[in-house]
Amino acid sequence: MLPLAKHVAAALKRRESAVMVTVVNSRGVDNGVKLGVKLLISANGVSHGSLGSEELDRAACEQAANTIEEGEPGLKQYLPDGTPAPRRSRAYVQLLYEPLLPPDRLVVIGAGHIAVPLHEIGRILDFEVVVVDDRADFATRERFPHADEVLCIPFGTVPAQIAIDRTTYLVLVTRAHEHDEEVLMRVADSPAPYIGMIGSKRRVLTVYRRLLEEGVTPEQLARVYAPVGLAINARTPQEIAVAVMAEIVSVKRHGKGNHSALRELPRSLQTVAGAARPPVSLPES
Amino acid sequence: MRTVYDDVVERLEQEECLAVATVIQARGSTPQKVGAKLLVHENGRTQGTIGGGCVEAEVWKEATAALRARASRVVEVDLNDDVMGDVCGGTLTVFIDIWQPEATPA
Repeated sequence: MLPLAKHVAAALKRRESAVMVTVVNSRGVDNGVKLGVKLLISANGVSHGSLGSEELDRAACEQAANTIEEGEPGLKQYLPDGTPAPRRSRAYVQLLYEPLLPPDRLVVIGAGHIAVPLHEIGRILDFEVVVVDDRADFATRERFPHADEVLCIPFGTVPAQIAIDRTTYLVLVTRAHEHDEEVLMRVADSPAPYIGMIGSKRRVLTVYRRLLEEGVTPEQLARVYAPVGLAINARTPQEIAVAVMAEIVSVKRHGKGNHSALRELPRSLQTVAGAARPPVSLPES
Repeated sequence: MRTVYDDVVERLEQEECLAVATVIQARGSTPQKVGAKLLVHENGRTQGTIGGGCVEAEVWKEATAALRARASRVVEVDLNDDVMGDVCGGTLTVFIDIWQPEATPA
């Protein structure tokens, strides 16, 4: 069973999804079905191992995509021929479907004073934590002992160096709006469920205006959570980190944060986006 | 980031067997979630959690027995038992899976 365990561990390291199917119960079925036998099915449909019968393997492969999509484990009962067992069936094989999904990942862009409590709370909440900065004296292990990765790279290389998928939560807390722009213009169309950007309304507006000029669409900007974090009157870096991580939890569990502060902004900027030339009037903040 | 499977690999590479207990069904008012895992090593040490102490003591006992027998098993844990106190309620079904370095479980 070591090869199978190694295979799973390696796939999760590569942030691949898969489903582990295990025979956890059987009744009245005698030929070849053993408790604990396993079939591993990758997201691309490739499988390893067997449940002991071709029919069961085929039925499991058909169910696998649903399990990955739902993201929750579940039990299903089958007759030996692979068809679903009716309730109260006297003979059945019970299969446990477990989705093996890469852990949610928090990518903190900018290693300043808010990044430190952010990476700590991220770890507490079981995120895989990556911290990025272009300054070698900030992007250090000593500063971020709980991070899984600390990368010292130019901000513009973020999407090239870190694959951004639908389990990646991005927080932009760089030291200057130019860096936020560099990153945001490259991740605005990514599948990330959360892109938060710190800054006053004024700074956020400046970034938005520049990005609209660069061809980022108002719809893409409307996905950005800015000003960042739930409204809890946060002041200190630690409090701001709590507000941001609370917003990320809210997005992760319900699909949305409160996102109220700039709700009217993208609309007001649509005129900018519609204009062929750089904007002449933006709301004063 | 470490996952349960890194721990499984580590034990198997030491030529040890390992019990992986997984909640497969939870009925009633249990805080345990389907899919929650508890690892039990051959020396009795545990990693992870499938809920409070009331369940875990019972599952640990079954897991060490399953390890000795080198055979996976399904265990029902009744949380309505008075001995458990009134904190827990309901029934848990836990699959105790024995991982062995080489052979597949019998």
